[in-house]
Amino acid sequence: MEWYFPKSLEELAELLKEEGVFIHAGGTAIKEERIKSAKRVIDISSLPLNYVKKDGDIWRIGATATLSRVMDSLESDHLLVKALKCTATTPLRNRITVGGSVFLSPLWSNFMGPLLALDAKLNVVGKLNGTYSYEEFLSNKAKFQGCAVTEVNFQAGGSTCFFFDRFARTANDYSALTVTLGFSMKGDVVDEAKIVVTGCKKVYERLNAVEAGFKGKSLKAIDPDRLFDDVKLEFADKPAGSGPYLAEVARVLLMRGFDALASAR
Amino acid sequence: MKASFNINGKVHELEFAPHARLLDLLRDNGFTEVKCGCREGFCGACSVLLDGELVNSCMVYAASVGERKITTVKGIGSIHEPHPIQEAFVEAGAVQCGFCTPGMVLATYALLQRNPDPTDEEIKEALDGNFCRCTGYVKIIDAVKLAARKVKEND
Repeated sequence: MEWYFPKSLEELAELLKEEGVFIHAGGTAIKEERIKSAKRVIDISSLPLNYVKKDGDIWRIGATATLSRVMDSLESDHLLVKALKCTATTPLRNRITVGGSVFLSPLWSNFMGPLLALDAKLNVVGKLNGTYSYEEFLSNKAKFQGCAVTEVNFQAGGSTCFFFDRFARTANDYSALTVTLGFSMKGDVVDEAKIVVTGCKKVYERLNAVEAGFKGKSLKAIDPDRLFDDVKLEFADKPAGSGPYLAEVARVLLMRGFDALASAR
Repeated sequence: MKASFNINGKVHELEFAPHARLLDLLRDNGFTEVKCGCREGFCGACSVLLDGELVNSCMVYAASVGERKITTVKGIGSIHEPHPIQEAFVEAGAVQCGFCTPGMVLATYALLQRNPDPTDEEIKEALDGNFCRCTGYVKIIDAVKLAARKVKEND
């Protein structure tokens, strides 16, 4: 097994054409066996991808930017910062990269829900070159084998207000589930709603029916107690609780999220 | 494989397996001040600074370190010339079995580099990846506050 350290995206794209390659950025989610079994490990830390920058009204985050760097660079009340604050620990956040978390979706990665709610897009090189929505990436990960994520980008600012929360046994524990809500308002009524639950059996669920029910309605006209009654979320049993228990916790967090966003208006 | 590593300001040419962790590379080459705890990135006993940033050396592949500067606790002070943070840990009674202390000292060092006057909450956040099973953390937080004062006086 050999390590490669490409210095340009062109060099990376060439290396990705070969069989048995494995990409390394921070390495925190990569088990030793995976490194041992790879023919070539491509370390992308020498590429100029360690950035978090605002490009007009788009936030662009390079694949090798660490979670700590993202927290330091985005606004302190940004949805992603809220999610990252309860992700892993300080020394791990100094090492975990955005690209690795997006590509491998490790247990501790809390930002799947936020990135989906932000309609994040991924720049990809390798067998597929181009920009893809994060949702498309998650729904068909196999298609992206032999590719590397080079950038995550999403709209900065805007009028959407967000809520994020998660459920875990302790502050340092992996999240058993996360909920993210985002409301884009036009005057007093909801123009667009985004509601994402992660950690469930389907990895993540967009609550499309509830989202559609919000459109054009004033938040005051919505009864929060009945709002999520028809939502059927399925969770596997986890150390943090049984499947039915976690489904109930998710419902409570969704109601809290709605309350928080409605009362903030 | 073989590579050069900048450890505590000195360049060392070291041999290691392609899948070796930085923790093992350091300990196998005499840097035993880096403690081996959980090997899962939870306990912080193996903390080192990589270009000044606190990381768990058990979660870092040695091959990926490249030219970055590695600092262990011996890189900031010695028994004869202790760093003010190390003095503060002794004076505050924050050392019991001592296993977590190298990591705690480096976490404090990284914190004070960024924030010379941290609040209790900021101290707890900065030390969230370093576990101590003896002290209950009260003395450790006292030590960080004392260290902040000492570092300021020294400056």
